Amino acid sequence: MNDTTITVRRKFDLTNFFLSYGFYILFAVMFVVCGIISPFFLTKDNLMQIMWGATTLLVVAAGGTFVIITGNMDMSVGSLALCSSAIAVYAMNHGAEFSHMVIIIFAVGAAVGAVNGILVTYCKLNSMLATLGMMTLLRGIALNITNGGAQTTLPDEFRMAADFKIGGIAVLIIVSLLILILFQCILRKTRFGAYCYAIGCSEESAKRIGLPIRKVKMAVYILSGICAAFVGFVTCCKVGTYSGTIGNEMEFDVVTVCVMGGTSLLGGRGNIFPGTFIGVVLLYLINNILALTGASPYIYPFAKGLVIFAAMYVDALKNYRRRT
Amino acid sequence: MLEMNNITKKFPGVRALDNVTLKAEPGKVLALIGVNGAGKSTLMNILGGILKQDEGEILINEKKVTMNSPKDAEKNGIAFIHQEPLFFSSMSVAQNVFIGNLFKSNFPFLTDNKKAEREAKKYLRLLGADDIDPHSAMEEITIGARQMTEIARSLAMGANIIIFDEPTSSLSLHEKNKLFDVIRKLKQEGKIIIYISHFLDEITELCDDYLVLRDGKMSGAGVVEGLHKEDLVTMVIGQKPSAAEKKAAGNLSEETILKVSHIVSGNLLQDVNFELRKGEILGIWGLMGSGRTELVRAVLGLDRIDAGEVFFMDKDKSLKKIKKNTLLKKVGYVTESRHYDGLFLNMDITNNCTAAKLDNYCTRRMKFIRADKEVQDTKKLIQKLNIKVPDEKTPASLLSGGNQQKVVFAKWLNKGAPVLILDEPTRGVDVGSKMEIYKIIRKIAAEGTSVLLISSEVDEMVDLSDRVIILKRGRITESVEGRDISNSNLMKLALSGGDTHE
Ligand SMILES: Nc1ncnc2c1ncn2[C@@H]1O[C@H](COP(=O)(O)OP(=O)(O)OP(=O)(O)O)[C@@H](O)[C@H]1O
Ligand SMILES: [Mg+2]
Repeated sequence: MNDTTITVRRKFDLTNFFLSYGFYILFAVMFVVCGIISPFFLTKDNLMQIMWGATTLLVVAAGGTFVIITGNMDMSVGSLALCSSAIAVYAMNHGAEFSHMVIIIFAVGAAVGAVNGILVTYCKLNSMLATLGMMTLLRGIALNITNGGAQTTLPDEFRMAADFKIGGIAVLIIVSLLILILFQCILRKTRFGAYCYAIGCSEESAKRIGLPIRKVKMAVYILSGICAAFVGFVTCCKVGTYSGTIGNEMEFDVVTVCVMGGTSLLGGRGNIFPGTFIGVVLLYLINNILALTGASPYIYPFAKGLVIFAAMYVDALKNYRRRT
Repeated sequence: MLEMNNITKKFPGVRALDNVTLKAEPGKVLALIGVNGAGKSTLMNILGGILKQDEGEILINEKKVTMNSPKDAEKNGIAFIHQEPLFFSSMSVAQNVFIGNLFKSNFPFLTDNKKAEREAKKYLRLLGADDIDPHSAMEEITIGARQMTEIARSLAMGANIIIFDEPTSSLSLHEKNKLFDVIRKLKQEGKIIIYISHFLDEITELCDDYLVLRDGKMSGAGVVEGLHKEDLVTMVIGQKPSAAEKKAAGNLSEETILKVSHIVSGNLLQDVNFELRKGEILGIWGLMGSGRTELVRAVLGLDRIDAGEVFFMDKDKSLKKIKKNTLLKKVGYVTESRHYDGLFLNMDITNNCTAAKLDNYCTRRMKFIRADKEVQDTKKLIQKLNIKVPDEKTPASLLSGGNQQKVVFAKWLNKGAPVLILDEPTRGVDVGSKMEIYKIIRKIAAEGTSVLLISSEVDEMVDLSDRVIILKRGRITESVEGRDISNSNLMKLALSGGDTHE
């Protein structure tokens, strides 16, 4: 700390270390402990089971990470997953085939993402509130056009897509992992990714330097919308029927896992791989071990609630320490 | 050659610029000076494409240019080093340098970060800032290094016109000298440099030409050489400066109002002791990073301390030990960074000025706020501190930098606390208003208020302090009084002692 030093604060600090990597450590510990508690845990079947469950959240959280890194929120993803498949079901009832339905699902995702983007960038609405409004609105649309979310059987192709495997691994798992790696690449290696971080760090600075803030935010919301549509599609595949529970509470899961993976809610920092990936798998690990040990299913929301609080608290502590 | 001809810019309630003409030549440094709110930043914001002029034109090399965005300014080779620095804290230095035009790698869509780091190193070396590692994150480097990064960015985007808006206000002495070397180098390379500052020493040292703005109008222009500092002052404030008043010496009371004993905080503060007497102005002097701000924060209970106690004079005139955090209620504290913890930027001036003493403006029982009384007092403060605003309902965010600083000061002055802690109280304030603020500080001290003053300006220390304690690497090494408080002595004491290096 003298007049000529260039770097400040580079010391190793145990508290900072735990705040940054706490959830990674928890992840490792959980893995070992689970393996000890339940002999079934480390079997290939069970691990595949966990990944199978995690596919949807992985992708939508990867998209959500982009949104949060730019310093915004997308609370409409769960409803968007529901609504995009509801519209596809509506089209099916009016004669659409499988391929049309897939196109519809993703088109709706992109379109709603674009609307979110417009609301946040051009209409300058607060991103949290704008997308919360969108969440309610989309749920309303979905309930209206599907008679209150009644179960509907979907074309067989959906189930077939879910059963499709390469080398014994479900293709949906492979696709979502590939998406994750691709997104991480975009985030770290492309200009677009750099702009996302820059805008999240300081939108004012980005504006003064002349970065294309609006375009980037639009792109980020469209990306998040498409990821949400992916959730709708995959859920339809897994279940083979449409039901009103698609994407339920997903928006909170997205925020939680991003934060667990070290993405800051203030924007500007975080990553998808390993960060968000670890967050997602950790959430499913908790679910899995509770199931394996035969705990009451009603314990699960309670445990998840605790994890959410822990994640938010750690984020708050990190932000506090950064400022002082 | 850069020309801005007959520029006029109106904001609601103010004519920020009125028919201003600026000419700047390559290889010269043009000083842009004037009191707070004169329109300097506004003029430069127009040149930087952040604001659009209502009237007037900009010519670069006799070609007319229009600028609608910072991007346009960049295309025309204009770079703007802002009053409040622009940077992206979690990103690397290299990314910060090249954020505007990242390198493409051979692989489609991807950027080449390695190349960015190599090139950033090159630019930093050009600036004589080899010690900045392009790989380190922006939040890990000092303010001076951040500024170097910003300059490197402007060079990287090929700027020929570089604007510095009060660049030295948060730099240490060493960093300031380095910056001046860089500016001289840029000048030799034939760049056009526009330099805004309230420090007239800097102007005479660095600049070739000057342009003075007053109330949005030009009030003088010419060559700096042969000009005296006094002439500049006269031009800036529009009248002859009143002779500096001598402080009244010797009538200090013996009562101690604040006593700090054995404060230890990590390796930032090591066993700090001092006493503040009633009506005394006590300066804390040291280099940046010596722990000045940390010391007051620790005393106030804002940061955790490892050991030590703080005593404050009670109503019955005896020193009582202070419980954690309660000291803040009893003192006024002008913080070092106005944007971060000094102002409610979105609130109007009235609410800012009365925020620290809201109880005074409430009805007795129901605590309704009496807006009329608030406005009345704010008007007085605006006049007293020479704050330039359209009216007292203007949001603080719309004020010029120096006027924002005055509002911060007004807020704490208005609290009327028995102890006032001032951390860089006149950062960005013009020469004239500075004298006014000094007068006020002296006056309240004479009336019995004790002042704890931190400042990086030697002159401010010398002008104001009754006693100065020297802080070095978290330790108080010396205490000087009376005639020993001089420019040269303070500089010597801060630098000497042998332990300024790791
Ligand atoms: N966006 C805005 N809206 C309304 N008024 C503004 C705005 N920006 C600046 N002003 C006003 O224009 C005037 C000139 O401000 P400017 O920031 O250019 O002053 P300055 O010369 O840079 O002063 P300082 O030395 O304090 O930085 C001030 O009265 C300020 O209140
Ligand atoms: Mg200014």
